[in-house]
Amino acid sequence: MVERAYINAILLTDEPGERHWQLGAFPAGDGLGMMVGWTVESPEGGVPASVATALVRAMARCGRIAFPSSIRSSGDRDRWQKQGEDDVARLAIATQSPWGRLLPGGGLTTISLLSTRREEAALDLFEDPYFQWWNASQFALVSQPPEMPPRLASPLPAELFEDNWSEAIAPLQAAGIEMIMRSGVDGDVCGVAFRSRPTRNDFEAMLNTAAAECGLVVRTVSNAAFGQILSEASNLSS
Amino acid sequence: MAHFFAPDHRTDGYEVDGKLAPDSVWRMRILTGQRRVIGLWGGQDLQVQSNNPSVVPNDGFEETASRADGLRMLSLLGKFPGTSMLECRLGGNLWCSLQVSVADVDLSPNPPLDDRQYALLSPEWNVFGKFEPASGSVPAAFGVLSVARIPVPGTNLVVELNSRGWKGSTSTVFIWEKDGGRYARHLRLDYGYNERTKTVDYHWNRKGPAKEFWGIQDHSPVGKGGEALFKTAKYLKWGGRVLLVVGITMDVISIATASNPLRRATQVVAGWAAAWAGCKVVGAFGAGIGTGIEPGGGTAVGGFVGCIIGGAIGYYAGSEVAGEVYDWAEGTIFAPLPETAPQ
Repeated sequence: MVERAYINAILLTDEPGERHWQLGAFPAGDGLGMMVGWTVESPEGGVPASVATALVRAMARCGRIAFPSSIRSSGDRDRWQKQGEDDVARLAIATQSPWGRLLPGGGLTTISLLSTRREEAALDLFEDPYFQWWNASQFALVSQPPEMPPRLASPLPAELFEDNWSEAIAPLQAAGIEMIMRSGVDGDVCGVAFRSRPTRNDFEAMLNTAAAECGLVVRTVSNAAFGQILSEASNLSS
Repeated sequence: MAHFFAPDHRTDGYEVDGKLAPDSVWRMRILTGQRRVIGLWGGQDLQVQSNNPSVVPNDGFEETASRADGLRMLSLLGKFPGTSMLECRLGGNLWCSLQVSVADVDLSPNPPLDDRQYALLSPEWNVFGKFEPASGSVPAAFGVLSVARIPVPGTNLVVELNSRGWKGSTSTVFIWEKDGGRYARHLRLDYGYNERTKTVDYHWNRKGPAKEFWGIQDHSPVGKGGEALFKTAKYLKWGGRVLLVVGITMDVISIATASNPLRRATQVVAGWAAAWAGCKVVGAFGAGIGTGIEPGGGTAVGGFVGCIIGGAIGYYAGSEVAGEVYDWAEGTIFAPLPETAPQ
């Protein structure tokens, strides 16, 4: 029986994980990656509102958030355009279509990205109907400095939507990307890859604060305990 | 020289005059309600038409062989007693013709074999099966299912096989909120790691309130029936997409090789439209029945089965009706109203 200390908890583990989480071979155990889960039940399905808010708030306090968005129109420009308080751009990336990849040039397609510092705008990353969080086809990039969008250029690393998504952190460093969040199996977990140890430490500190503001606690556990606690989450939920 | 000839050198009901070629037929006799085949040699570019559609309808003549060397096999229906000329034209010029006499009873010395009682059992010429245009309701039904959204009666939900997302999903059956908009609530049948059971299994995933999806809980495992549904849906999705492409390709070929491409095109378009409508209507009915038996899994099974049945019937009925309407329209002559002097 899992302790009641894990009620309404955000769980973190940085021990090497199994592939069934659909995050690839992640975390690698090098301290630059962590898997995130939660024991909060969501009556609506999907990511519980309190968890989504805590994650977005922590990211927003670490930098500026950019993610694929099918909701906000971005035109067809290859560079950032101001849209209210946010910025939008349409950048190239390798298509997911197996037929498209047979085309000359590797089958590039374009996706819309939204860059924002606003929590309420960033919460859409969990709800996008096309870049589905629950289908492991959503990611978020956190960049510095927060005042301006990341200096991304087409094409984006194809790894972002693949199992080896965490490897994209290296080529994106020049664009100011500090961390990448990617959704895992059924959207019930996610992985966070960091550029450096200090970045990870900053994020953990911000997540602790944001979680407390949302009535949650953050617990770091072993990989084995991570799966066990999540499987009993329905019993823990208050 | 283009000419008509009797298949297999038959003589019953075929009258050979040998004028255009040693085997050229100038007249053939058909019993009322009977279909008989006539061959046309050297007529690849000719437009064939009955000048009396009430006796021999211009129904496309079930043309099943249309070879590059100009050999064509036409099946003529004796609709009503009378006489019609089957005319072959090129740019309005008559190249050859055949007199067709349709009678209830043929008392001539060499009457056509009365095979009408067998008409429903087998085609008159076995060779037809080999040349028949490969189109039909089966590829249409499965093809339509692979891309259709089947409404669930009494709800705001639709059943479909698509994830509607950036990439493919490990789920195969989706019950979407029809007007979900940006939040796209849904129930989906998934295979993969289940964090509740800590095993890889078949289970439902839900995004949206349980009450909108018959109370089915997120991550709830499904039994053998759910596993069978998952696997069937996977084959229906990809097999259906293949059949969709195959069906469309075959229908395009059938249009290109038909003696009356416009008529065949009308049939094809009407067939696909009716298949789509049939899938939606009968699929919705099936989904309703299935929901009554077992919400979720039953909904999907009923919807898919209904869609296939409705799509197949729709395609067949649509193309048949379109053919009839086309023949009616083509055989109808609109007489101008008499002009009257202004008062």
